[in-house]
Amino acid sequence: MRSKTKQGIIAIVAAAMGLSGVLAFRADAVPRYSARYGQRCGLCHVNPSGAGMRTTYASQQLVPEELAWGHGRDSLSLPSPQLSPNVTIGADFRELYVGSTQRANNLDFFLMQGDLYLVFQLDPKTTLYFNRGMSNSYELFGTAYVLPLTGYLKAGRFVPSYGWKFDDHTMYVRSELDLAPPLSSDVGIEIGLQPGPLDVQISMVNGSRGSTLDTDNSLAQSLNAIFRHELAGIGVGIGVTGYHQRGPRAILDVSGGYGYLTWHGLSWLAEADFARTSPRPGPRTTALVTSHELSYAVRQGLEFFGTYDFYDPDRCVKSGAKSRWGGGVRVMPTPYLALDASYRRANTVAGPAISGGDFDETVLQLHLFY
Amino acid sequence: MHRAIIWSLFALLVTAAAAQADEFVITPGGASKVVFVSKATVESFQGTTDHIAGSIRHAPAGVDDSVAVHVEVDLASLDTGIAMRNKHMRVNHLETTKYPKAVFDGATVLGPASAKLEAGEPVTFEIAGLFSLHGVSHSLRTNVQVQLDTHGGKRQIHFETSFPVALSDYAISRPQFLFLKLANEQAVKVTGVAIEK
Repeated sequence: MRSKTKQGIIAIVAAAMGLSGVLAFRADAVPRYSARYGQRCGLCHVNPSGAGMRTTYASQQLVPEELAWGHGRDSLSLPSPQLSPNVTIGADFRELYVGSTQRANNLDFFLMQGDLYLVFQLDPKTTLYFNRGMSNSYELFGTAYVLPLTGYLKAGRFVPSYGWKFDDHTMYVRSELDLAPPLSSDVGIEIGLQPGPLDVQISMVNGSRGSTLDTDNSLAQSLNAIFRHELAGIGVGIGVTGYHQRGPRAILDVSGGYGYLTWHGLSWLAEADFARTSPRPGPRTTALVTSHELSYAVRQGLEFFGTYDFYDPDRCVKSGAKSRWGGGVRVMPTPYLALDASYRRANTVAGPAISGGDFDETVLQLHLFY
Repeated sequence: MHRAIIWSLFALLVTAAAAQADEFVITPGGASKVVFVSKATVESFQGTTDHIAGSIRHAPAGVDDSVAVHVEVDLASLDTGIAMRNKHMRVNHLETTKYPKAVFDGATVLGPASAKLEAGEPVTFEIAGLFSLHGVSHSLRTNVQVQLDTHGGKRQIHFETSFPVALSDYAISRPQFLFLKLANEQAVKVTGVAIEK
């Protein structure tokens, strides 16, 4: 670590990644829990494709009994998130304390996330979900479990399902593909089917991410499918995902694979994607991006994690590339509080498409949630 | 006089031997299996176990208006495919340390009247007995498909039955936050083989 970075100081990665610090990038789901317990994201999140508000099953049972260090039930009566039998609320709040060698005077507090959730259970199979964050983007959709194979139909404004919804928005598969919340929320419909160990979502959206209207008169489609299984005590998940958008100025095709291996408290999650952009006119570019997370739950409420990211904006030419590795510790002392401390080292191979140099960053994160 | 007594005793023993019920034993594993299916709004899953044991005793001449049935299922062995869900099921719902087994005892044969078990001929009986689960017992009526076969010189009774179990009927907890994930009514299917003792 360079001398300019003080021990325990956390750096905002969003700024280091060249993104504005004004926007609050929502960091939503925790896929490693889905992997560790072999359960679909929709069991813990109201949104069946994961992320956002947690179900009462998650907030009232799973988190207190399985994830938090402190059980929470004996010493503290957990507040009920239900305003009434049919209305439930939730929240996510994240603040960072940041330090990075990429900027001077970089001791920053950053309010990264502030989301409020509201769910109306209209009938046993139908919900109306509203999520408003600090940015101008939001999600508002209805979900009806009316299809066979425990399937659902979703309609409204939502983030199309693609790959892993890592909670860290700076992971390259999120930051470089632009398919992550909140900017990528779009208007359309989604069908989900859950036949046994298979979980499939197919979306048809406007392809005008961040807008309520189809600004380019062309639709986009996405597919996300994962198969989960346990083999000799090892949890295995293998998934494929894709996004296609035929815009007036370019055709965007993003496709990749993702999955996990989990054994006792050790979990490895990975995703690798190719993003082909075919501008009209112009040469096609094929970007490669991959992200990995390795975590180990030392005990309930305490885990160590390591990450690795790689991004090459164009595999066909030498236009630069960047990679990043890091690690940290995460503690969840109560069912509504999580604390992270991490360090990351970013390496850059400069080129026409990648600028900047190598840098270090450390992050402290406070997360309040319910 | 002594000869008469001896012949009487002999006749009594022969009669008693003829009236002794045929006993068939169900042992864990093999073809014996219990499957329950939960179909709730946002999740469907099933649990299985082959830890089923018991016995079937009926009169040699055929199934009369009653048959002695005792079947036990080891509930802690139920597997839903997800370890955490198994744990929650054992600890939070079935409380298997207090109530380790589901038991069926009976049974009155409600029909068909005077049916006989012939080798290779399937028969469907309607029976009634007592089903105990989670410390609660209820009368249970169900149709059972039965077939008698011979294998390795021993007679076997193959049986299969399905019936619904409402968790609320057996004081099994189902908190409100699980309403969309855990059905109140579980579809239970029991298949097995009882081998002549």
